[in-house]
Amino acid sequence: MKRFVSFALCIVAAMLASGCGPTITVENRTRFPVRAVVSQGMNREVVDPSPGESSTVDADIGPYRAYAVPDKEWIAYAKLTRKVLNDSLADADKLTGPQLLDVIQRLKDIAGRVQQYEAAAGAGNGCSGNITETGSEAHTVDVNVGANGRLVTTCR
Amino acid sequence: MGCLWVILISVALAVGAVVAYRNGVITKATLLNLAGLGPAHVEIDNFRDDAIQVSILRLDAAKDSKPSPTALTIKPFNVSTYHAPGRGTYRVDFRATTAGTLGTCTLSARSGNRYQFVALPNHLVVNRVNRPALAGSDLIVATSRMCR
Repeated sequence: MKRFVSFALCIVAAMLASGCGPTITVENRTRFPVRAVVSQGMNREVVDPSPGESSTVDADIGPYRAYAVPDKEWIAYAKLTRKVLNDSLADADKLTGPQLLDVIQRLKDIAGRVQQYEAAAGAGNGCSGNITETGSEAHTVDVNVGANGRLVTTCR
Repeated sequence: MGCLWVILISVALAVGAVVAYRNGVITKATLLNLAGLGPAHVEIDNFRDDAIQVSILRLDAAKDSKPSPTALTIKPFNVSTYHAPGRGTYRVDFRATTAGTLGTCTLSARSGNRYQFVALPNHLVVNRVNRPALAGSDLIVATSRMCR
């Protein structure tokens, strides 16, 4: 009996230690790299599950949206942004007012880009789900290639 | 008659609030932020070619508690968000897999504020999204007044 109690306590401790909150797992069912955006209110995660693999993000109770883009599209955007930021911030102390505003706008644009994907998810190009207090804590987003060759996400 | 209007408006507001809450328009965080008890949001964008490790530790926790740092590993070109549970001082350490220590920011986070860190090959950028910096030096973690 004591062993059982110890075992049960270990399980509970392990669950607490691992922060057993709700999670969303993004499964890449395509044969090429994708970048998936999972957003939930102010919480945004961008992950890159390899083909046939999955990535898991922590989530909260409430509605969420998911969208996937080909990896190269996101990388191209990110590399352009980082080049502009790197160049602009080479002499950060000497930035003029307009240059500073430009850098801040570039920084805002990162969130803006993710919000574009969020909007696309809401417009039917992605998927949305809802994590409830009473429902399952494990939610999955499948990324597949649709009949038209475009990426399709399914929340389940 | 005036009393009836007050009751009707109160009921309408209550119903509206419940509907908004259920649809996610008003969230628990919104309500907590109104009371100054909501989380601060820390977004970390890794725009480097290698993975970064971020450690976030609350420095002003209650004396009888021993907070452990939150550790995040963010792969190249991924984005992650951390909810600082409330107003407080946090030490945010950044390390890169290949370059070692990138920088440390001692952040005084406020309820409802949104902070953005962007790890670049040559810089570690910090930005308070809802009240951006007024000087370029405040955008770099090493020199930013936000990180002291």
